[in-house]
Amino acid sequence: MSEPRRYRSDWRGAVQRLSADPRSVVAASVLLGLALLVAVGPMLAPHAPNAQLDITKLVHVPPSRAHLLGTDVYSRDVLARVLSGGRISLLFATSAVLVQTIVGTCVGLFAGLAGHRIDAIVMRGVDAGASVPRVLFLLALLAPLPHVPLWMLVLTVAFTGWFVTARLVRGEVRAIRTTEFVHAAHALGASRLRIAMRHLLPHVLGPVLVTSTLAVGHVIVLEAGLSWLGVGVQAPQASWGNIIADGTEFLSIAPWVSLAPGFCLVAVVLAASAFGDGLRDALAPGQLART
Amino acid sequence: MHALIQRIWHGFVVIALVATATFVLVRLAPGDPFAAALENARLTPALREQWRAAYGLDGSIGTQFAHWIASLARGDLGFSTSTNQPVSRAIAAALPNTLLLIGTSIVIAFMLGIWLGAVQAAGRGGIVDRCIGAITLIGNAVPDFWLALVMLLAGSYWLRLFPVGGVADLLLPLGASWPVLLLDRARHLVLPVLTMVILLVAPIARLQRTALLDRLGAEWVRTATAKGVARRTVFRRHAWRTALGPVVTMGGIALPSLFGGAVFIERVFAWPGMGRLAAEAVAARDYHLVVGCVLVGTVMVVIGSMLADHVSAWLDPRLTQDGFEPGRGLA
Amino acid sequence: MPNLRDLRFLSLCALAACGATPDGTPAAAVSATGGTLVISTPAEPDNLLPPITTSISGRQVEDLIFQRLADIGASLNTVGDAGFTPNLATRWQWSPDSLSIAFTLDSAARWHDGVPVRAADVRFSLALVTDPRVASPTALLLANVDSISARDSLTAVVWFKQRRPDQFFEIVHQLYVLPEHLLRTADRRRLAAAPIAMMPIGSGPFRVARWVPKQLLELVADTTGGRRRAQLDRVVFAVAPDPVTAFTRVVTGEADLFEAVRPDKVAEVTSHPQLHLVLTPTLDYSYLGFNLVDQKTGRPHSLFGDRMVRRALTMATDRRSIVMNVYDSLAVQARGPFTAAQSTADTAHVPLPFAPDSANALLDAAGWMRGADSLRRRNGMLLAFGMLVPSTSVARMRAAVLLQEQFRRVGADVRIEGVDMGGFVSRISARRFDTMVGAWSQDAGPADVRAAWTSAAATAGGNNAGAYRSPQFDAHVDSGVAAFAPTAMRAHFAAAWRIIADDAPAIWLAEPLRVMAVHSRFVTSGMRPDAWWAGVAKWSIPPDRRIARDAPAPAHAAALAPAGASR
Repeated sequence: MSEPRRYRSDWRGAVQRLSADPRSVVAASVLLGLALLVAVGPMLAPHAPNAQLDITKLVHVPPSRAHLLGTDVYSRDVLARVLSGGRISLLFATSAVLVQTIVGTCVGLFAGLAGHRIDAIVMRGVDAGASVPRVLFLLALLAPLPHVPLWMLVLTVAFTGWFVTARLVRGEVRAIRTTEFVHAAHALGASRLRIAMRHLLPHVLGPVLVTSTLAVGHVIVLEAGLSWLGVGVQAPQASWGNIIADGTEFLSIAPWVSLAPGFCLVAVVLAASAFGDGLRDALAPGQLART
Repeated sequence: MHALIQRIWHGFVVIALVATATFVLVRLAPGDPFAAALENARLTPALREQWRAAYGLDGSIGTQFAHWIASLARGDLGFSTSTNQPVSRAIAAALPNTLLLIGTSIVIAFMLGIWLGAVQAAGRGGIVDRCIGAITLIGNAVPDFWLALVMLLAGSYWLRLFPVGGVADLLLPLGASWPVLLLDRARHLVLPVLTMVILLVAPIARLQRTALLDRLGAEWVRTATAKGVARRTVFRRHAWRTALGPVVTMGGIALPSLFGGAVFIERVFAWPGMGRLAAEAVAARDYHLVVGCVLVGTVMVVIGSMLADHVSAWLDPRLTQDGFEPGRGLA
Repeated sequence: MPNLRDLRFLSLCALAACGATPDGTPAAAVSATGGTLVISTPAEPDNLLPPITTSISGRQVEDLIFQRLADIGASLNTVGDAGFTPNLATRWQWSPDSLSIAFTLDSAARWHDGVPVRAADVRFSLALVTDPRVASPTALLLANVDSISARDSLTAVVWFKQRRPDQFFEIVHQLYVLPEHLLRTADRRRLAAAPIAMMPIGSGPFRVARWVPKQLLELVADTTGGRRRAQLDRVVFAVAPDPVTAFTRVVTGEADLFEAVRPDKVAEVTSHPQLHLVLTPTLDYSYLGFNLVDQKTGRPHSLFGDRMVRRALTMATDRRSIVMNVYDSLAVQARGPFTAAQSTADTAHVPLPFAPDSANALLDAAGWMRGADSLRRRNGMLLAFGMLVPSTSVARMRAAVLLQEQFRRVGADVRIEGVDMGGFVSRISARRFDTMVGAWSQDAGPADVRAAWTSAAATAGGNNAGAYRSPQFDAHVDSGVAAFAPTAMRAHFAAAWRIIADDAPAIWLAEPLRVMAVHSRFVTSGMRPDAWWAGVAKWSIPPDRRIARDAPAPAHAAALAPAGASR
């Protein structure tokens, strides 16, 4: 990376390259398949995800015909919870990443286009935010609060996650704002906002998209960690993360509880990361030696 | 020289920002320093208020901040109410443990990751490349706490190879010879380090692979090859060295997430380090200790990223800032 | 889940057998002292100075390094001095009007630094605890003690304000005797900051050898006192914050004792022949507390101000199944604000039954009608409330999820509010909650119930956070506490329990047993419901069963003192 990788805003070509890459196609199918499953699945599941069937007799039933993935410590059907939890996990991760990407892009564009002094101030703030471990940050923010609703969890996670995107966008903007076409646009009297929207945004969209795809996987894993620390998605609502976290307590006597959501979680993270790689290769071909 | 001074100034601003924000944030959280101690709450609010006052934790945030800055100027980080000692002493006990854990993990993960990345790049597209890629990625996709718990159960309980957490066997006689002590340290270190390495190695290997392939395709490498320099030498001397740059930079950026990962790993392995100290301080609303931990952590991060930048600039003088994909926890 | 009932029976028998051995002189370990007890614990003490200690783990250590004047018996009788055994005081003499007691101290007693323990130390200890500058939570418990005077160097005379059945218990149980010569000059406002708060000098059977925070706390048998040497050489508290890790240390043999084995781990403990499962009763109970007052208006709570609603919600919960789910058979359903182990218990008391039909009927009668979504409303207001619960407590979080589902079945919409312990306590103190899943570790004395459920504690700052007020209940508790005859005391408390159960200011959930895993080489004794560790000084290991870490390490022990002091 002796010189910044140039992402092209050649979207049609990118889609073509992406669909020709078997790895990306498989990754995308896995993601779409899981999304479809959790979208439709809960309606088909034989039990409600929070229904406690019999808290003394149906606790930790191993997988059987009646309960394909067994039951948990509250005698709830694990399959129903994995499906419903997947919905929450995917929704949570995509919305958190969406918010953090938008915030990061806006701040990055602003800093990149602003004068030197404002840029310096904003970027020190970004540096400060990025230098605190995210988990600790979230723990300190969320642990003292009773009942954190999902939207608030999404915003808090996004609030601690936009720094990298801001840095990335600001770097890209700084690199291309001196190029001729931006000068030309400026000379033609285009406003800063217009330059940002028309000329810079398409250029930074590629790298931002790649980063965001990868971030989806990270955020899903992060939520699992938060659940283990007691600050994730609030009970009794299931998420893959909190099913795994709650299941670790019974790893030796009821491994099936955390196995299925664990598998889904790993699949999503792998697929998101493979798709992110594919996306990067498709958007910035040439310099990168393809596999 | 000017650049260095500016860099240090920037670092100072970042540290000041973080410390101030933390100072305010922890005090806004519900709860107070002596509320978490006893859930039975025989310690009534009136008594708690009195204790707060005794340790200078009463009054407005502004006054407290002024006091804190004043004592900071004297090199005093305040008194930790949950561990009954000066904050500096609590941190002095924890920091070496975390540095040992993170330092060992970084060294091993980098050596392993760089080697794996190189192996992958050398045989790109082949079965080895794909296998290494998949395995490291799976390690990276597993939640930290889960991996740590499984490592603990596997290494300490099922296989009985390693001690169950802790930084050393404190019941060893004090007169034990140093090889015994060293071996004991190493045995305690294996599982937490292994856990951290598994979490860390994937992004390093990936980046190294990509960077190496980038370099191999670059024009000046091709020129060198054309000049008759053996391909192996090119690989080792030129491509290798410059490819290290981005990896080292990433190491600098990844430091905060390493401290974050330490929150999980240190808890599971009963490792008395900074991650655990900070998390327990948050739970106890030990205001001075939280701020102290974050302050010291930020100083480490700032210094770490400066070092990383310098090393990578030394590795590849032509290096420019580049937006590479962040590793886990950075996104 | 395995049925643990037989197991429980066996272990309780084993425990009874342990308790039956004569004090400290089991046949197997005649004279040989020695051995190390490693206790694996997730929590470490906040400090080791009794007036300002608030953690149970701190209390455990203090019971081993400090002495009380006398020790309460296993039956926890608090009337008069029956059942109490001498400790620092070898004997005591009541005054004819019972308003003072003269304690004669053991002349051989020494502080760990060799200084003799004197009556002046006893006088000083009371002065320290009750000093308003110290702000000790214990001060309230000593409110009936007027003063202590030193008649001579070995006779401390305790003067009381009133003659009460539990006055002896109060002074001997709540007051640890502290060394005046080491604490006289300490800053009383900031006692916790004094070095002695971390490295205390006591007169008990063990002294602190070293405390490495977040790692371990090591006690060694004290030999300076020249009497009552502990059978064991060392007691080590090894800290591991995660309960899984702490438990694993015991099954791998790295530690010898873990005091909070989860029911699902019981089978694992019994599968290890070197571990014994030891069950003891406790003084702890858990409950769902209703907030009877709306804190914004100061008026009765819109839901829980209504006794009918509280009773209905109580009858809507299948407490037996909840207890079974959370504790398997290692707990019984709690009957009220007491446990079977205490002297005021009324084991014949029958709590409100689980009767969903009656619950529904009561809610209908109270005007809460079911809507199309099967949730109840009254005048357009939803039957909805929050349930505050500490997210770090596995058992209480579990109970909360189970309760929520059962409330849903009778049409109540409950929002679980998981929060860390600091946030939990501050919300409870400020009384900002609808309901909360609480746990109360009772003191051994019968008066402790006052702190949690009487009108006196319902005022700001008191621990009756739900602000339950019943003059009849208060009157019976007061009479019970003041009764000298055990039968009268029990009768008053039985009446009090009936009143509070009928008023249902809370749903009492479980009285858990303490489930401990202990290495089988230990001969244990003296476990009390309020303190399993009370008899640790008498625990021993037969010489033929000792393992490597039991070997005496004189070089080690000698080298420890400076290491500890420099902590």
